[in-house]
Amino acid sequence: MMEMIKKEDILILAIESSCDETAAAVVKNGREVLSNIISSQIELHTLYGGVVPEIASRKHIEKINQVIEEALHEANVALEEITAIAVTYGPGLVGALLVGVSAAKALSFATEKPLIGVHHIEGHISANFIENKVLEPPFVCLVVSGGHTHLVVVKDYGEYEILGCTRDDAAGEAFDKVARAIGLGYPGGPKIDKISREGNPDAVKFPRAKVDGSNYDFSFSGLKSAVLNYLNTCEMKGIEIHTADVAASFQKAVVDVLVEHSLNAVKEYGYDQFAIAGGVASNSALRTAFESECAKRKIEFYHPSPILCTDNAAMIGAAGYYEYLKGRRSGYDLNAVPNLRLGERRIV
Amino acid sequence: MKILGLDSSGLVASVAVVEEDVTIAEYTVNYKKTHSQTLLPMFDEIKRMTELDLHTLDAIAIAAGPGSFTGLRIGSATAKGLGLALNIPIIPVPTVDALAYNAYGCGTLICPLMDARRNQVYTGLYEFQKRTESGAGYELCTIEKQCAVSLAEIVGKINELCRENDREVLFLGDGVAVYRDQITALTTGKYSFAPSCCNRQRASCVAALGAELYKKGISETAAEHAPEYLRLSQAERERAEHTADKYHIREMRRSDLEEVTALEASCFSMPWKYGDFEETLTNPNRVYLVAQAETADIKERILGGCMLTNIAGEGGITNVAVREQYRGKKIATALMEALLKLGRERYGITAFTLEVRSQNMPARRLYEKLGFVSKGVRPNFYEKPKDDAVILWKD
Repeated sequence: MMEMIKKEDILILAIESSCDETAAAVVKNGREVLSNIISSQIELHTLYGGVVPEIASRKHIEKINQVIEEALHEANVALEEITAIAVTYGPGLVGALLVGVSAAKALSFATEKPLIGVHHIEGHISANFIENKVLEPPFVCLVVSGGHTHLVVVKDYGEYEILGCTRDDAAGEAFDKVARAIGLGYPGGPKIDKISREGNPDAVKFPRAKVDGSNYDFSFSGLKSAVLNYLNTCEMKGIEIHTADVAASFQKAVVDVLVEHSLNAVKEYGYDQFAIAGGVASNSALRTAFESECAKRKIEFYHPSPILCTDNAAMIGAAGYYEYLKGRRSGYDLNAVPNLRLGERRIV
Repeated sequence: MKILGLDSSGLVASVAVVEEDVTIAEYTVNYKKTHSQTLLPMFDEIKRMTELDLHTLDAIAIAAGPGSFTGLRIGSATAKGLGLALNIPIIPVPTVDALAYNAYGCGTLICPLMDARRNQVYTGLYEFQKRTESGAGYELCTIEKQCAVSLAEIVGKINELCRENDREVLFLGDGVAVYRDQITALTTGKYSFAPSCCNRQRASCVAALGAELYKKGISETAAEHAPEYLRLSQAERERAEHTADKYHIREMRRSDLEEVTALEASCFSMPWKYGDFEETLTNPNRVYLVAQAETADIKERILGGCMLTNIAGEGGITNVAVREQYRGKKIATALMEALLKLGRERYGITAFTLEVRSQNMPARRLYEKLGFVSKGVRPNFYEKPKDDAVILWKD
């Protein structure tokens, strides 16, 4: 079926290359995805046990045009019909970001269409707008991925207040490290999720970390160490390790902390909507826990489907749309900012 | 023909618009800002200043590498975005060739040097040869293709050439500033350094050389274009070293045919086909050896291979190939030694022969080390690119 595009429709061509996915999408009016193309490099990086920045950057440059052309083709939209071009400019791997940023700037320059630099995490949060047409700010959002763990109040489109973040490892990073320690390999998140379904989450009692003086910050390195210590102790004492039990117990410890902190924040700040975002948001145990806890506490719970949890460009298109409406534009000197903070804008 | 030239391979960012023999605009900056902040604003300024309609551009010539990995990608991604939007092709210009083009018409040898870190330079060796027709100008000729080597290696070659042919050499590029004292110490012949007006990357040179390459049919689509790094990433290099440590040599099997055909295609411009290798399996006078990696988790397990044909007691060696990332790790030497041994034992061969491209210095050095000596040259024997074949024999 042909999508009808009206003159007043705002079409964002979005580009994302902050880590190991080369992605482009066309998004209509912020919430309707006309195409969402993702070229994943995961198989390549699996050889190295994690993302190798230089290899990721090399792959991005090989794929970027194909991905953009495919996104336009699948959306059945010509480049001339696009309203504006949005691109992730941070945070992420600088070499990887620069490929998307440079290509987007050149496209914007050659077509004389507005350029909008988008924060990667704001993209993740905005993924929720795509499938949940009723969701509007304000709400509390937990962003959990391989590189980020943030608890945020989304006060308005493009307006954020950070309540807490991780003091050490990101939640996804802890999954990767523990997965490696128990021999599951990379990427750790999906592998732990899967094997945990066969394990007893109460088999091993791992600590639920609190950060002194902050109700909403997280710390996962202590938990990771506790898992490693447990494995060492078992080995020394000759106790057989039940991988599924260790995975399930570790996962539960992470989920418990994420759920408790998040829902306490929703209550304290007086909101009635809560959303999750980021790669770890597709973890089945995390979703189940939030679903039941939110139902108990009468909080509306939102989450993107897995394809929109992983790094993708549709979410950048959604975030870019609201930036566009606010009149925020980037210049041709837009640079990649690897450690860009949430809510920070380096846009002309 | 109107060409946009871009160079962000080194410290310099440079943009130029060149139409036939006129440089309409050139903007070159040698400043600490990243190319991401400079390159496109510079082009924007050119566009404004010269009232350039982007749709009048016919092609984008880009310094396609070697150079700083990130710098190359900023230029490439910019070119790819422009190429996609304007629907024009990209002409990949070897960075070092374009640097040499700065010294157009210069009668000396030309040696561009770019600091490549890790005690290496990106370099090459060039000269300008007068075209026969009067008014046709000079042609940039490559003596040593662009490569990443130590300064001592390239200067060694220059010294030899200067001694034998009474030549002089001109050094240029950002590597001069880094290696000036060493160049002075190592160079035995006459040399000079290019002045500031032509000793760094210039996009007008990239565009001018690009125009020549375009006439020779060299261009690619924006989607196809990617930089030529001349180097693997550190992770790949370390991994290749690890893999290259553990392999064994055996005869080719039927199950290797796909991989061997792919290996051949990746190494030669006119490769043998699947059927040719398949025939080898049943030909009693032929044997193809492979070096197989013992690391289980790589997709391409065949690191290299070589062929021996028994012709009435003489051994013809062909198809000596090693995957690019595993070169320089003595795999070809090990393959050749095994092949010579097998030839003597199985066929009673006493004399071996092979032909090698005269420009392929690494291979020639390898064969010399194994005891092969030159017995003649077949002029222009090879195509794509044209080259002489050196005939080698070992008794």
